[in-house]
Amino acid sequence: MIDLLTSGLAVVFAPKMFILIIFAVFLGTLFGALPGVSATMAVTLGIPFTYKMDAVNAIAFLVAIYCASITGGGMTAILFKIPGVPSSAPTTYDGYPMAQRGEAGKALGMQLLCSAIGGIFAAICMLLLSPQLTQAALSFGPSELFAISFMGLSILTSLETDNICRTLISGLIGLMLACVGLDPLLGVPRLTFGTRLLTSGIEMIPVMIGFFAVTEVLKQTNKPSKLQAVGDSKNEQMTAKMPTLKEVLSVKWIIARCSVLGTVIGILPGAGATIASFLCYSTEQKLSKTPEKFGTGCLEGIAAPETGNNAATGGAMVPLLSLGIPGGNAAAIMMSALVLKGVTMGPLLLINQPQFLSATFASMFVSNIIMVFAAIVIAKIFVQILKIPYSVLGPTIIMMATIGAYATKNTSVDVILMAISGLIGFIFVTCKFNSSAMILGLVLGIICESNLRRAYTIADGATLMEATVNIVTRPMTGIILLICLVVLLNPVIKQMLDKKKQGTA
Amino acid sequence: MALELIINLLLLATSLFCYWYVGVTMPSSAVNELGAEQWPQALLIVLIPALCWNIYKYFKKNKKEDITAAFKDFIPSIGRLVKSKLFAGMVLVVIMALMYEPIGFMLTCLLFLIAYGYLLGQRKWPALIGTSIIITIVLYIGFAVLLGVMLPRGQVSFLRNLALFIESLIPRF
Repeated sequence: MIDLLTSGLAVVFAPKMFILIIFAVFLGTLFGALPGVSATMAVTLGIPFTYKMDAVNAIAFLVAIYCASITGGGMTAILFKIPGVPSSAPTTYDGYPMAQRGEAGKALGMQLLCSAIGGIFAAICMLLLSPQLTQAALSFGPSELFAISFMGLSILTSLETDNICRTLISGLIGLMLACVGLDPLLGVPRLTFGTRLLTSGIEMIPVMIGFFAVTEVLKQTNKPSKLQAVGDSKNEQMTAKMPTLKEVLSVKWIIARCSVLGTVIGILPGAGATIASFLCYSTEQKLSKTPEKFGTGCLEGIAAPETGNNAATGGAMVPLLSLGIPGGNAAAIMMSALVLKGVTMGPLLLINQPQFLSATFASMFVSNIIMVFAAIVIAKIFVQILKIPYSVLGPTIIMMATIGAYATKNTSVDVILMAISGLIGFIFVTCKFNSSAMILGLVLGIICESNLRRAYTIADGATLMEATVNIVTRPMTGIILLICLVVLLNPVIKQMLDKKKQGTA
Repeated sequence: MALELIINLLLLATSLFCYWYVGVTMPSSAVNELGAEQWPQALLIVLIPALCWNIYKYFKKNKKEDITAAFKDFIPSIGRLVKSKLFAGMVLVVIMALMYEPIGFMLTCLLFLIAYGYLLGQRKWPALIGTSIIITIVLYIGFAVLLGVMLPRGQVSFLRNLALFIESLIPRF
């Protein structure tokens, strides 16, 4: 183990490589912060830099970009309500209200700290538990993966406890929108109404950008007197200051739980940072003594998703390095970069060339520390952006959102989809529906459905009922689904009991 | 208030239609498998009652006179909306989205920044045009030149040539 650590640190601390890692962290944070440049795209954009590196240096460089981009995505989520990467969407729930109160600096500080801790924890886990955790994850079948993604959906009833019905409707609309396009198993067009435009489904990124960014600018347009961006308090000097020790200690258990949860979710193939961040947010809301504070701008609501999504980056590297199975899209890009270098991916990789694991660990460890400082510099630049008059900032946000939407597939259909989503998002908000719930449904819909249907296909039941029993009685699936049911029904029952109490009082 | 009810009713009607539509357009599935139609139908089975409940709650929460008044005010409120900055903003966003590919990034971005900036209260033309030009160039260099993100040059030949000319003035890295 000591040899492994030494060799990893030797790779990262070689002067040239260390400079490249710092460069990768800046690049990744910046890419992640730019709306529409996903973590996968950030890693892809980093590949040309690795052409002249050897394979071990290349993976160290790409891992640094990957970790930093996930962190960078949270910055724009807090400052502009635009999640730079999908996994930062839950960060908007509490980060943006804090920015609106003029606490953008504190929110950013907490986000950076939690991201770093989550990332470092996952890196250590990756080094120590790589083979064991991979074996455990491989025993997870589609039914368990469905249960895990359904757990992410269980947040629906608690996103807005005062308005459970409308939040549920919003989430279900999102899930329905995810059904549009080619059926994930049969490949037949579904709910496309004979239009070819809908065959490829409703693209998640343009919808998300439209709902969060365009809607927000439209809301500001409706306020003629307000020409300053959110969080631009004249009396407060806005800096990316770190939260106080007391504030950090107040979320220590959240960081600990989400680090573990995020790492485990990251290891599961097909899960990843997005599910991890939503799941961590919902879990912490359930466990909180003051769940009503979530969504109003509390540090707990930033700590949970940001720790979770960064912890998932370490987890995602476990199946990639141990078995040659990419845990997500970004890992798949990294794998293709290694294959380009002539590396044979698979279980023998770590046995024959353990330096891949050590270099990845060292890179994650170092980049998560550098990231805090790099992100503070970049965050300060982004915070200054808030001081720009809204007549300049508002249209620029929309143009950046447009570039992001177009960059997904280089088609104007996505730009139109973004614009329509922005208008629908505004009507959604006006009718008191919940945009976040809609996005949650859209993000997790396909994952939920495809895993559930795969589970039914392999359940080996004579009827649908028998197959259902076979699925639910799988120990892990049963336990997770039971937890989901409790989590889903808890706010409803609690509300009913409260009403009953008020009635009797 | 009227819009809320209309949207809920529209959603209900769409949900009912989708339930029928997905049922008749999808291939029939085996008895022990979850077919392509069953997942959306399962979702709609939850969504339809939820919408009905929401509509019921709407009628329970609002008085009959208030609902009538809201519907009487609905057409005038649309008139007010059309005259508002918000509607102008919506129109600008839609026009920008439609024009993005045909006239290209540079011109769309420049015109949109000027128009939306004016809408948001910027009345100093030199500042408005100056900042719009700077932002267009910064966005172009940032995304197209440095990050290699594809930005449309426009489908009209003279606009495309203009974009190529402007691009030629910006140094490549």
